[in-house]
Amino acid sequence: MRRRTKAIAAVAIAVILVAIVLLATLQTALTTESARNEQNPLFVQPQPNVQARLAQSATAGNLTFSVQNVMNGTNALQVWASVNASNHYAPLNPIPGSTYAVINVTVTSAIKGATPFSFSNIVLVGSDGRSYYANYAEGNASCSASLAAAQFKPGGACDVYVAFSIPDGIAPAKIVYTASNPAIVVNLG
Amino acid sequence: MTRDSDRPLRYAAVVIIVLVLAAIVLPSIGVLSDLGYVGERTYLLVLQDNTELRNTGGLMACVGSVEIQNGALQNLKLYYSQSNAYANGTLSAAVNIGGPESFTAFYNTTYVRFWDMNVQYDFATFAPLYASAWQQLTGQHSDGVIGLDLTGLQELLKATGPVTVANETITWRNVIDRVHFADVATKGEAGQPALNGFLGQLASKIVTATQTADPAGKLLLLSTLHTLAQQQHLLIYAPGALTSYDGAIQKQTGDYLYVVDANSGSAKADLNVNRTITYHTYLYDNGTQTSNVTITYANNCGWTYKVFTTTIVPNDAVLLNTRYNSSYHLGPLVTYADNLTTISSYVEVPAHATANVTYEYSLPSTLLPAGVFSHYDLYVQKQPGIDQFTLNTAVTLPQGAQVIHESNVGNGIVANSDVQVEVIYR
Repeated sequence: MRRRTKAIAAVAIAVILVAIVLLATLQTALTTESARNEQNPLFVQPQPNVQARLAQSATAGNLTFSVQNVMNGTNALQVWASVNASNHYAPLNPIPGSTYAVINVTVTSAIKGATPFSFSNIVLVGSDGRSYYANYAEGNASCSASLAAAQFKPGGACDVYVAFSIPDGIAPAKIVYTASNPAIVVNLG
Repeated sequence: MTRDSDRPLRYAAVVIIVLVLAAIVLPSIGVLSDLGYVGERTYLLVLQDNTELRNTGGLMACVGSVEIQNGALQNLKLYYSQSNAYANGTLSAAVNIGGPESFTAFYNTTYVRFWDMNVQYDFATFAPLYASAWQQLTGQHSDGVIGLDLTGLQELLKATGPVTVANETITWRNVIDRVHFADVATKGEAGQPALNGFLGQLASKIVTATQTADPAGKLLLLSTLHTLAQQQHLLIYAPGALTSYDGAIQKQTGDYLYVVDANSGSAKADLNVNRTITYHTYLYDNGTQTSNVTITYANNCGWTYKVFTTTIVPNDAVLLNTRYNSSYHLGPLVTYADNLTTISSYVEVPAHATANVTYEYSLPSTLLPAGVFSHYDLYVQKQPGIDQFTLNTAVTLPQGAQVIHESNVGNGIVANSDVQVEVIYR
């Protein structure tokens, strides 16, 4: 009888140990899956492309694109507050552990005819090599409607501020406009 | 090789296992049936924008419905709540809410716009009223209501990974801002934003990502949904099923504290407003108690934050004193409902400043019997839509009393769900 009790106890302990191992494995799998899905994708440079530096213009098809300035941290929030002053419906709320980078871009429709342009096709490439996608955009008075309609009028020009959420400790390395042919790559380094 | 004497034991073991399995499986069948995993159910949807806080979680940004047939989502319909398109634009969207008294007395009206009707203290009370108003406006019957806020949307995207909506990449990092962009910046000449279209496509992509996820991904989604429900970013009102996910007021026995705030015309401010609840109760020899609760708002926005705040405490509380530290305030207003006492105020918090309101009130005994010991329990309920709040608690015992055990007493508890405070003393 005692032997039987010992055997039952041993089986129970074995079952509990297996359950603990299974739960730990499951937890690890979920944590790994979560960490993987939370990360933004690695950037793959589109081909073909034209390259430019900060404050230099690059033209692709109908579009001329020039990154004038890149701000992050508190500076970005101050800039955003100034360009977005009257819009209480779009404050930037930094995610814990993250900051905002705000870029100032001048976009010009180079030739006649409406030019498709969407700020959501601007990708910020971080110093971690990952792609960060636009959160919000503000344009000057002459082009704020164009931003929403994703269409520039012929000869239109626009001074656009685009905000990106990036993790703390990551610096903007490149700004890429992916929708033109060729793509426009602005190296910030 | 078994002995005959073991046979009854083996039969008993089999019977017990069958009973245990039946106990687990049968209710699950009921729950699954109620949710539409067996058969067909229609749920109303409401996306609550918790950057503009309302009592049940946030501004009703989008409303709509979805059918669940044998576990599959079908006929997802979403409408920009303020468009009134769901009512064919022909019916008035004014709804007679009837209560709660704190709201109707303070604002001197029982009528609100349909998309402003989530003024009840909890989702479980709001949901059937919403379903009834929806049926009146649209003729559509529903079996329940599902509410999700923007934090919930963010967390779902953390679980699925990025999705592509109309050639745009949406991630957990940009989804809240992109919802606001679709809401505000895309308003056309008719004043109708592209929000419902954007959210409809986003929802479809998330559902597809869910269906095509590998087993680890599906488990992660389940785990995420469970956490969101615990933190009340996901609320499910399904009578007869999942009743613990309906956000109902959790008043049981003992002391109780629930601060319910509604942003009162200060736009998308709430993710930039930090809340601290400081609660100090004094227990007396005769079993009665007096309590001080201070609600402090730190407004990090560049404009004034305006909040209609209601503090819900046990029945028969008597307000003794109120102190405001704010640029402008109205109140207090004390009302009684459902065996609870509510104290409401309107408070303004200037840009980049803090403000607070303090209520001092007496309570009849909330102590619980605990054998030779005295047992003080405080349940602090978290409002849906708020990501987290800071809780400071202090309990002053009767003179000469000695603490046997305490939990969650002290300062700086950062809570993203309900908090149970407990003190056992003799």
